[in-house]
Amino acid sequence: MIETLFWGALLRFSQAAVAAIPTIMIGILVAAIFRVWLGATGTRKLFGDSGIKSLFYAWLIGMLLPVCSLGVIPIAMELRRAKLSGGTILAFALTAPLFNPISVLYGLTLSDPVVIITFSFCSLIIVTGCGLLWDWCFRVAPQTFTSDPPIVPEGWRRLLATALFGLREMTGPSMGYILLGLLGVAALSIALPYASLQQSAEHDDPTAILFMTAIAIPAYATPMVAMVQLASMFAHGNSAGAAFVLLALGAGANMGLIGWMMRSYGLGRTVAWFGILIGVVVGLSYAVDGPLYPQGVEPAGHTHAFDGYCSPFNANTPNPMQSAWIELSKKVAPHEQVGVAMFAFAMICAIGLRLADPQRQCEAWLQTTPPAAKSLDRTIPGPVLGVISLVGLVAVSVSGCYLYYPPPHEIFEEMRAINAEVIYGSRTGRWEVAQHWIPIFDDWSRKLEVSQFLRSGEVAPYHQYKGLVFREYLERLEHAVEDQETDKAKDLAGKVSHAYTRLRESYQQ
Amino acid sequence: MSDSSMTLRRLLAAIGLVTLLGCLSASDEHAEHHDPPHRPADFVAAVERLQVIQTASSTSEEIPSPHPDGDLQLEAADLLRWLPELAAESDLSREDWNQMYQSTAMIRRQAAQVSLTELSQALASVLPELDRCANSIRSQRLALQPLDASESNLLEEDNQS
Repeated sequence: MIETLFWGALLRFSQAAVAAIPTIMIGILVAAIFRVWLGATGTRKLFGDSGIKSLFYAWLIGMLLPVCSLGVIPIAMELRRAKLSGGTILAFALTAPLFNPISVLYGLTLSDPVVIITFSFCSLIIVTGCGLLWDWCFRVAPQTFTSDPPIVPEGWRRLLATALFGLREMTGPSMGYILLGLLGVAALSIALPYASLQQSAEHDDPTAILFMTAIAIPAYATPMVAMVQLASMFAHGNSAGAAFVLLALGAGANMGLIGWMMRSYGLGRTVAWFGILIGVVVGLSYAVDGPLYPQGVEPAGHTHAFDGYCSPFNANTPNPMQSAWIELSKKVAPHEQVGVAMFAFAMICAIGLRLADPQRQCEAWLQTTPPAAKSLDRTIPGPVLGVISLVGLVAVSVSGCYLYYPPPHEIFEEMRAINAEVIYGSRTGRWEVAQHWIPIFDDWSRKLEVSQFLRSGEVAPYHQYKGLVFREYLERLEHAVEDQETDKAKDLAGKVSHAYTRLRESYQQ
Repeated sequence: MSDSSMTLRRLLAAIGLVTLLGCLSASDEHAEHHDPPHRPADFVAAVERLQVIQTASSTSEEIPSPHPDGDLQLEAADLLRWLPELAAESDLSREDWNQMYQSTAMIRRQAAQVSLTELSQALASVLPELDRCANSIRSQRLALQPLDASESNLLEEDNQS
């Protein structure tokens, strides 16, 4: 039993780490830009200094930045260094992991758009409400801002200083808090047995919201995963309020963030913040639970949305160490493998830098060395750079959406091969093959709808219902495969294949 | 005792407690899908049942309902709600599906709120369209039957080999 729990926890730790690596890297990059490019003065200016304006700016910037609740830690540390108000920092730290342009787009097509817009609006209320209350409760005397250290001259020196800051962060305190957040995920998987949360978020259960509150804080979810979980909960007719708690606290908070808050603001203030936050989130959740409940959805009586928080193995799993390795190697996508390799390389460089230059002489040298004589090189003013960055961010987000959601005919090429794998695995009793491909099949069917929405501005009800039928049979097949019911799996594999053919043909009509 | 060793002890105690809770509440069960007893097998069966309900309610005849509450109106409301999904599970053309979807939009929304008499009248107005779609599915099935037979023969031979 202990062996099963240990390897299960290690698997969940590793899965969360792999999922978090891209957004941790983005978080470190953003923190480096705040430190090296903007400096403390520029950062304060960007966030509107103080008051309700800064809370709104924190919400808006948080919505635009593609970071998760772990990746936000280095940014929050940098904002504290720039002496922004505690309310603004905590508001930013909470909102940034909830949404980003890609996840909002995904959510708009998966759930009712009203739900996503309401959830975004609720997050704004939480941010401003909690931030204002915090700043009011813990008012500080007007701060004296010391002048920034000399800015590194632009050009290659500044780029190098940015890279050096990133490397220092990788072996700095922020990485310790990130590890603490990942340990919270591992501890949660030990506390929650295999598939134990499948009936924990029923619409008619008044305690579902409170229960979700208890498990959501140590849980970790990237904005995209949170959005998929949200869609799954709505598809299964689960509690809309519990879904909101999962988004606000599951994607927004983790043990690492709590650890950093306790270290920076003390235990009392951290408890006060979470008291205010949980009060507002739970209150809003009960308020939206009824109105946002999807009409016409047949409650499935369960959900798979939280299986990823529970132990991945049951007591009968043979050789959990081997199973954990197989599971991890199967689930890590090629692009994630590239991310892990880049992170590992950066970590080696970071350790090397820390050992070779503990006194930060490189950074001092970059600051003091006079810039080289200019020829045709021109300095671009800050506002111009800002506009370019903003336009660039929007352009990259839009093109990222089109890349992430390819056109339907390309998606069907992928789905054709996956369909063959699912049918083969289910009909021949190769359960591990079927179990591996079924979630991927489901994911592509959802991407198909987002792709259609992106390119035509709507998903016709005809397409929506074809997709609904397909996913319904796919989920039933998943259950049969989990229970290793040979005859049922064969029968359902045929139905999935028919439903897939109808889905494909519906897009050709 | 130093602060760090105290923190470490507390951390280990918390991990131990969490592990114990996990071990004590271990469970291998997972959920299943259960169709409601009044859910029809397909679109054709749903339309046939709606015809029976409409006839019974228009003549005030009392017939039993497999709905968990035994309520005929609630059963009709559920059947109407399931129609788009059941039709999507058939080979009904997109044009026919859209027509069916639009013609039943109003009654699907209001079926549970209006009186049984009003529901019966509304059903009477949409049943010809539903019947047309059901007939289309029936004829598609008839056309596919010889193909299905040869396919199952092939599958049987495949299994034997």
